[in-house]
Amino acid sequence: MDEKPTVIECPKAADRDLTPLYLAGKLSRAEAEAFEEHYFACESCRMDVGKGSEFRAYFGKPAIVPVGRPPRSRRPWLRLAAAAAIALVAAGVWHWTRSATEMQSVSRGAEARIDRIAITPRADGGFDVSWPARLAAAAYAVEVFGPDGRRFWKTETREPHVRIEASVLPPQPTGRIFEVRVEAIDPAGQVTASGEASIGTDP
Amino acid sequence: MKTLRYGVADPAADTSAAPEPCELETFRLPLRLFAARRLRNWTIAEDVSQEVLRVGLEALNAGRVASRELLPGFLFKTAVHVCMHRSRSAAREKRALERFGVGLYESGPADALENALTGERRSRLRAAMAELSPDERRILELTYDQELDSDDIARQLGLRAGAVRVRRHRAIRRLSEILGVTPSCDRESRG
Repeated sequence: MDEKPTVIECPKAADRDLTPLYLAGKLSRAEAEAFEEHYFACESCRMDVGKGSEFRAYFGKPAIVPVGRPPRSRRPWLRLAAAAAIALVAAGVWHWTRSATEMQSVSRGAEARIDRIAITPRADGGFDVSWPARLAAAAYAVEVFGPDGRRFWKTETREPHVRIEASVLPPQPTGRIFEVRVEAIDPAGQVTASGEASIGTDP
Repeated sequence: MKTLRYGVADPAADTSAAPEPCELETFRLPLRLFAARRLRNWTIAEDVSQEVLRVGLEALNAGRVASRELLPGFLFKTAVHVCMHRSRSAAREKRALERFGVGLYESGPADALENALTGERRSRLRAAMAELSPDERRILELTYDQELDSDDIARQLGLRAGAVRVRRHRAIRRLSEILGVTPSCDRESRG
């Protein structure tokens, strides 16, 4: 009798690109973490991830590409923070007081995080997205990604909120998650902080 | 608003049965990848996977993981905890080195992640790849070497994206059979 392994197929087979995207570091941090939680419990995807990492190594690529925060020593905010400190000291006590708050904020942003991104669904199917304003930000870039990691909408705004119209969202089958990524950009065009949040629906 | 995770139940597994220690082995490589993505160092990732498996084995032996369905969650949470601990330790070490002027401590370089395949495993993989059809090999190459998505591969090969996913999936399954990848303990390695 043939003893071939019978591998349980994952119901998410339509999203098979998840594995190569994950290994190539092309999923957002939130998507990568959600996929990790999934493949620990899914034998089929777990095998795909293991095999995919071997293929990558076979082709001379890193088995997996880390995503998320860059190495600390390469963070541009360190230099920006130092320059901001010098400028603010020269500007006087009032500015210094403000800069202290600002520096503390940037320093906490050592994790470069924008937390508390609020997503409010609208009656017309769109969403209002808002986040705490960052003093150093000259603009914010907002991107929306589909469950396969593809970006399908992007905008820039000076305000710490944006409206995502229903018309820009693709049809949303039950259980799909869209990822919203917000980046704070300083006057020099550097990204100083970022954050993600998910939009999803119950089955 | 509630968001969904990629949670999928395994419909065929006997989830009420107690997991066997050998089932832990199927998590070794995923654990290393999980840790390598966070810690950027393949050697440390190996240590993490070893530590998580040790904790898992102890929990199994002590009966703290009562059913098979609880094992992945237990290992996942343990891995998150161990990675967080390692990451904090590395940050403390870096600060200490900088304080004493030893120089910048760099976490493991990404190239350490390329050492995932031993020479023997590479040879076996090469031999197994030779048993695939040219189309299947091409799809794997375009996926994992060129890092193209299914839509781009489909355009190149004149296929539909769905067909690309199916063929890739089938190729991986065939390779797994040839190489003796064992999804669970009752399937003995045939390599």
